[in-house]
Amino acid sequence: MSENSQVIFGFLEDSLKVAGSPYTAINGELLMAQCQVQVPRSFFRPARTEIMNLQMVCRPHLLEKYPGSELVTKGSYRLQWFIDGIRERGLVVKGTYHYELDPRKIQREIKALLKDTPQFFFEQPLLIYQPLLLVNFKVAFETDEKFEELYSLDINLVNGEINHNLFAQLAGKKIGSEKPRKLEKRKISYREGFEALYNHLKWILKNHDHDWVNSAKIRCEEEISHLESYYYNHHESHPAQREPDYHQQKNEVEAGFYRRIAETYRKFQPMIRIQICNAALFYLPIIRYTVEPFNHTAGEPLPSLIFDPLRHKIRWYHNITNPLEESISRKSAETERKTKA
Amino acid sequence: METSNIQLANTVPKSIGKIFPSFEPEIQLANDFSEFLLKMRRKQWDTWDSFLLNYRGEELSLTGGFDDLLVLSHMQEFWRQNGVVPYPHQIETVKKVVSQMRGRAILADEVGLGKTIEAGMILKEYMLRGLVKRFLILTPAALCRQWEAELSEKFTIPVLIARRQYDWGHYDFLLASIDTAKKEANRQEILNTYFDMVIVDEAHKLKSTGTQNWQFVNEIQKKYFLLLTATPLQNDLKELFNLITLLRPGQLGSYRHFKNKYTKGKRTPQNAPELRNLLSEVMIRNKHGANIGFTKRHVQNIPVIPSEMERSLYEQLTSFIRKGFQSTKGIGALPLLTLQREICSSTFAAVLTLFKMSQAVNEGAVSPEEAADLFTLTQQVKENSKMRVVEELVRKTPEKVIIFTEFLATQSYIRTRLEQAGFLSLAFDGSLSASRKEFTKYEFKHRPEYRIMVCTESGGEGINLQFCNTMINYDLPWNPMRLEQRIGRIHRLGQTREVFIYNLFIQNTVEEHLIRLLSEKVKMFEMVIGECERVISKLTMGKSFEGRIMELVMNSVSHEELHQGFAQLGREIETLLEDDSSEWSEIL
Repeated sequence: MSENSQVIFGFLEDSLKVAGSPYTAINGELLMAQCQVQVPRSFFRPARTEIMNLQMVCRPHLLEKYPGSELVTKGSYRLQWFIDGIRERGLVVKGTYHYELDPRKIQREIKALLKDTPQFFFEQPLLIYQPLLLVNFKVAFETDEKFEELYSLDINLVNGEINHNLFAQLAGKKIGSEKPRKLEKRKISYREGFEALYNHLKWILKNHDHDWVNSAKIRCEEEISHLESYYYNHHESHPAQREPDYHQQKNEVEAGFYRRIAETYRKFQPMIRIQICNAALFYLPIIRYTVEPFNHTAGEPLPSLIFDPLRHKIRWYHNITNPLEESISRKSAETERKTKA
Repeated sequence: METSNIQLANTVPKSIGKIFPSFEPEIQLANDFSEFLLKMRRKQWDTWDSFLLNYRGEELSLTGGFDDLLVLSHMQEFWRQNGVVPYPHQIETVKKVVSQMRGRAILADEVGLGKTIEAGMILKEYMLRGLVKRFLILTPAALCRQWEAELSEKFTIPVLIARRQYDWGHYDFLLASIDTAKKEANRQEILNTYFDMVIVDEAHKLKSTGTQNWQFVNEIQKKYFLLLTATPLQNDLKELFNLITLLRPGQLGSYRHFKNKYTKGKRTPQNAPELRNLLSEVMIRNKHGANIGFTKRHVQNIPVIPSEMERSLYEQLTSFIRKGFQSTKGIGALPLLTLQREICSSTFAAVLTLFKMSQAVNEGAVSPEEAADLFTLTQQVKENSKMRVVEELVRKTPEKVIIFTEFLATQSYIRTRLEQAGFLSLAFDGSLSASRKEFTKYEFKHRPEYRIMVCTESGGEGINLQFCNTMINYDLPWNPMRLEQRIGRIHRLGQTREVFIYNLFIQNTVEEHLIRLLSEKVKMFEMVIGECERVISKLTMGKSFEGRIMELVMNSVSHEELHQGFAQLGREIETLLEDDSSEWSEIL
């Protein structure tokens, strides 16, 4: 099975799973499914639900093997039908990437990430979760032609850090639906998060490769040069000043020229349309270590060490007043106390 | 008016930059994030799997360049179920229009090669990509229904035939006859609207810049623009210039430049290769050829021997008509021309005209007494010999049959006789409303008991009946274009079977000469659809082909003379055909 048809087959199968439709996959070639379809109200009939039997293959040569099947390929009506259906689902989701605290393993990972051999002792680690807002955008680049790209951006709702690779990093990870106990309180509202991501995307798009704009401009200028060659040279003969309707004709010609120019510009005018596909609120773990230098008397105490197990990153946190602990939501703390009790 | 002699140089800035300073992309947020916020606040969380699936769906629906046509994969299943087959030349055309011509083109395929399908595919392609959200199709009034049906049945595009002023502002997919659209009230509405695509069918009617139609279409604000015509060039190279100017002003430079550089007189091009290159940037013309598969066409000309009574009536009527024609020197001879055509069709068609002539108070071209005598004689003929042949043909074939005639009276006679012989038939003529026509067509296609449809020309104009493969021309129109149109109803792309055409003609009449002229000289039955139109229009030089035939008939006093006259006309046609192959073919 080619890669593309495999992807489509998988997509159909998963869509049927999500929709809860009964289906059978035969040899990874044929999908037989029963779907419930909402038939909208028409002039004579009320709206109703009907059962539709589908028999789908994703490769053309299988049509002969499974007579009566429908070929589903990229761009096909049936695939679009599934996509349109699934667009109603998964619009907002909340999930937690649960992390098992294993100090030895974490210390090994941290040591691997540090450039030099650490000159400190690891104290007891603290696992807390931070809320992140992830938004998937579909961006259409439109002139007289059009192409589309997907952008996935996320913002940390505690510190406002924006990244673009979270979605890829979460791929294959197990995401749970229950809220974590130690949750850091968000300092950025959802609305602010959306706005920040939108503005960030705009910033990215401003620095996007301008080839598509430049080529549209070239096409536009080519059209304009044709128009100019027609309107200037077509009327190159001496103006018939003495004609009684000269001024009226002149105005009409001018209007025609400007109308054509406006029409051409509108055709080629570059436009970027951003569409939000879906959004997710994630609780992602971070581990904070208080570290004790080997030589306790030398200089100032070391800042906290923050380890991000999802992205495999470490950073030093310079705030001495342990802001993380402070900002752990009261609710989480209370829950913890209750659990301990 | 855009063709006036006005110099723009002093009034218009020469650089587009001065008019539109910025070419920076404008960023728009298509959907507000409030709906997502609301869902989050209401805690309407979905599952992680559906979230991932949603994203995968978006990935699969991303559109890219025009290398792959979406319309082909999108419509494949629907077309498979409905028996629509896009031909390679159509796919190539669509690719070229969307990728190279930027959605502005003249589709000038020869008749029967599927210009409508090409236009529909281009429209659907842009719609699937979200580049066309509002369109307008302008066609002759007679073709509105057909366009509506084609778009709906082949592309699942629901389109509204706009008639009222209200429609323009309230619907996005509009179809209208050009005459309706240009009415003052509608015109303003249309000109105030921006259309993503405008399609004009039978665009050769926009060949003159001075016409209201040309100016109206020129003023419509549009992004993509398709002009459909099988004859972009008929009489004068200026027509072609005007058509291209409508599409893309300046493609051929100014008219003066075009005239000096590319024409040697009205009809002769110069610098043909260069001109052809320029034309190919905006025009696609697919021709009938080896690559475009038409099924085989079998044509049989069947001579019918008239009864004694019919023969005598024909002779008397012809001499009556000839006398009338000569006495008036052809002025006001239209009724005579009609009568001559009617008697070639059937005696029943001639009866009414003769009756009117016999009732005339003033003695004009013909004497009412003589007409009355002929009327009485005509009434005595109760049966026409052609009908025997028709019955025989219908009995022989198990297929559905279309019988074409020019006259309603003949149509009625044919149907009555068929009914007497035990064949149910359907009538299809110009008096039927558009919806009635559609219904009749549906009945003919789907109900097995209706095996025969008797059509008049006005009724059959523009309809597609590829599901049928047998045609009987009960009488012959004197205009070959009309005969070609008749054949085009069944012998076109989409016809999967061999086509059988039977032309009936009465021996030793004008019909016999005509059929010989058409089959031996014009070779129209060997030609594929669309070939001879230009030749015929050249031959007639302003006079109708029917007029030429009538002149011949009237000016010949004997069969021998008539024969010689037709032979002369045949030679003229042969010469024209030879010349023609070396003239327009250089550029088209």
